Amino acid sequence: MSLLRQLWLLVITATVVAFLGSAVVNLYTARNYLEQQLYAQSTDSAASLALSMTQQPKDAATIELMVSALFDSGHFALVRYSNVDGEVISERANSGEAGQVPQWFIELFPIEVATGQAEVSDGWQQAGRVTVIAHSRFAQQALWDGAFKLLLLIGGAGLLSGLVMHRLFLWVKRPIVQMVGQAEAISERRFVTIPVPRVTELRAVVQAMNTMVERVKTMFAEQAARIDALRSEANRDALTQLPNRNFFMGRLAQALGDEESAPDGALLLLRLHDLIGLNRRLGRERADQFLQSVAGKLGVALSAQPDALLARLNGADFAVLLPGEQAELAEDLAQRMQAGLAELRRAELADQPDLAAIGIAPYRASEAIGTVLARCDEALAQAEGSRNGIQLAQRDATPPVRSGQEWQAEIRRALDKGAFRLAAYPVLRQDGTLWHREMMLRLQQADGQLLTAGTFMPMASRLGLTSVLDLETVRLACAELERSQDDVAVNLSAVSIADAQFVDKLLALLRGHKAQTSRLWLEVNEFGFRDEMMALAEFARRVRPLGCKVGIEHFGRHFGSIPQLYELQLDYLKLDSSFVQGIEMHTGNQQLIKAIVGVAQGNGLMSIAEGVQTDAEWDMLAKLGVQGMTGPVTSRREPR
Amino acid sequence: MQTSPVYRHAPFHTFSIILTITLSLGLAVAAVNVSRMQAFLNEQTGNKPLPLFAEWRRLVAELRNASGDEIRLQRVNELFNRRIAFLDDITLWGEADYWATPLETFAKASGDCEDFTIAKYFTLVESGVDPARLRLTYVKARIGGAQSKITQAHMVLTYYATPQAEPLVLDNLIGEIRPASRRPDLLPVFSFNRDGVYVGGAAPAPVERLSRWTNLILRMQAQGYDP
Repeated sequence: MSLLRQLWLLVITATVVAFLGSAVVNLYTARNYLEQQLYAQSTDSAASLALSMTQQPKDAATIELMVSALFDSGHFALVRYSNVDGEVISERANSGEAGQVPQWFIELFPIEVATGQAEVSDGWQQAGRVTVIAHSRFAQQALWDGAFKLLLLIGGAGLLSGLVMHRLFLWVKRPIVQMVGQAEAISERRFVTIPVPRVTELRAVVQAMNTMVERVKTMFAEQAARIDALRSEANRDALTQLPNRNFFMGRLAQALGDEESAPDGALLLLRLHDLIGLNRRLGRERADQFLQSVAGKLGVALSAQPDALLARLNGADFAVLLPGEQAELAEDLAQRMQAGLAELRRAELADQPDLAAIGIAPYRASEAIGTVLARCDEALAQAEGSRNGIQLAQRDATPPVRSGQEWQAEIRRALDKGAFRLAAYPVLRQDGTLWHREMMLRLQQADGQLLTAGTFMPMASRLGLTSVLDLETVRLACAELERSQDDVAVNLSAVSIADAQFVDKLLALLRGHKAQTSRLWLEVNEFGFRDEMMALAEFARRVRPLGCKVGIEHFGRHFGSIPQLYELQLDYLKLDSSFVQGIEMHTGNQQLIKAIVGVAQGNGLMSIAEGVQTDAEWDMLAKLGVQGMTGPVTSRREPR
Repeated sequence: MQTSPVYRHAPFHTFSIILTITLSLGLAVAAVNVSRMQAFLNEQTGNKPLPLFAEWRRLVAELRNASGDEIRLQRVNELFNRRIAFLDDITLWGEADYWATPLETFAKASGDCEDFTIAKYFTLVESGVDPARLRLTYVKARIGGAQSKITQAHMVLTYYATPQAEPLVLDNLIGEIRPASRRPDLLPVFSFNRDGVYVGGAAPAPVERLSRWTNLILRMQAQGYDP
């Protein structure tokens, strides 16, 4: 029984008890008083009548008249005159009923009127006796009215106090409900604070809870900051704060190997001339300053390209990865970089006219990393001797370029004809058993050739078709779920999950496959921005009832954006391959992964490593507590 | 000849039941708390011994065993008429009309006609006279004889051997007890006995406090004399 109902019951019981108690006391008191009044009336009337009769002749007519006169002028049940021998000489009686008073009430609270008597004399002689009984009708009516008014009054008071208590309870209930919500949120590892209520007894509890939550938040924030620091430390060049070689190579491998990667792009290598000589001539301090300035100038030259990744590979070598960009743009950027470096010379930070050479190599996603690097090195060597210090490596053939309209038509065609396919990449548990399959969308062209997501997704994004393709992916995944017993993971874009219409359609689709949705894993790219995190939290909240798992992929790809995991209700993280590669030899990344896995476990999240290539990496990751692996290595480990 | 019952019994008065039990426990004078009465008198007279009270107690004790009401009437009338001086209320109590209790009358050794009548009435009842035979009677008295034109409101105690009998008059104006016919100076106006005004033994209820008679009874009870 709810507290509110119990309180109401209490009020009703108290009202009934109060009514019965006061009614009984009241009615008995009132009845007692009324009986005495009636007795006084009887006695007084008897005395008056006796006094009058004593003065009058005692003939029958006079007696009759006097008895009648008294009886008719007042409210009496009985007026009687009897002689000294007790014989009744004259009597008038009225046994009328007590008006509108119910019989049961009269039986419950009868009014018994005591008899009033007085002696009548005739000179010195006794003449007789007068007996008078006042009528109780009006007293009974008064008693009934009193009881009725009492019932109304106490009933009204009971109702009023009940309503007041109801309001009071609701007032107290609100913070209690909020507290319950907070407790439930905490049990789900969501750490939220609630407003401090005005109810004194609850205030202390809420304050204590809020303080605890704040502490936990601080703790997590510290952890996240530590992870960020580790990430930075392990993957950045200490002097220039640019990504280091290890990180760059990881990203290059992704650009060449990932399903989602752009189909082509460009790689730039920049080498500063004679850094050793510079070091010697200007001193180490000024040389360091020079290197930092170089990093700054290169950053400015690339600031228009958000996807460009600039890194310092080693001493004098810098590299730029331009995924999805054509060689022409790369050349343009290289010229801007050279122009930036020329400014350094004018600012007399360098003493040589010719500061650096830049080699450019266009690549295609399917190429091997060694081939691309070798081609770029070759171009760099040629650039050393060239006039402007820039050399573009030749590539065998340029793939046909499609226009926006052509892409739109192609995607529409594929949607209509059902030409989208899913490519599956297994994710294994530590013990090598299949955990789930990550599904990638592919487009089957009219000629049968399959295009990877990296090829058409950037165009779809430009055309505003991302959500449509995401929905198509989920639809295909649901079909896959019905076909097999394995779990299936699909990627959704940040744009889609922030789109309420998309989420509505998604939920409608998923509701049609309720039996399978618990085997569906939905993952989104790592989030950095606050509003995107809110969108993800809202998305997770809406999808959760269907049993879908929600996670983040490529976690840690971007610097300084480790999301505040404790505010999201997520199920898993997929750790970005850029710090998975060569993990067994990289202690910095080992620490980083250990820290991330620690936070993930603390928040009830599973962690999965992306892009695992070797058994050595696998073993190290397993040792660090990573629960699942995906990447090239799975093709060797997956049980057949 | 039928006599109607003169006591009214209130049905559920535990108080009266307890009182009856107390009475039947054999106290010398039934509902008389001698020590309380004595204490009251001491307070009134300043601890002066009061032979009248002792005499009264002796007389009551003696008359309880007497046979016949005649001797009782005789002795009680004689005691009060001899030992109590007539004094009107305004002199004695500072009030126009004050009904003194027997003890107050003892303490003052004086009283007016009502005080005489009251004291005689209760003493007779205490001595064993049936209260149904006694009446307190308001009379118009011709002062100085039957032919006098000076009249005065007066109260006497009358005794009816039977309801139809000619009453005997106990009066403080004339020392001896005479039948009513021999009192031409008195003209009866109204009489009452305690049935008309007082419910014997009942706990006094608020409305009854208004009655003079009840007021008297209450004061008597407070003074240790519960009739």
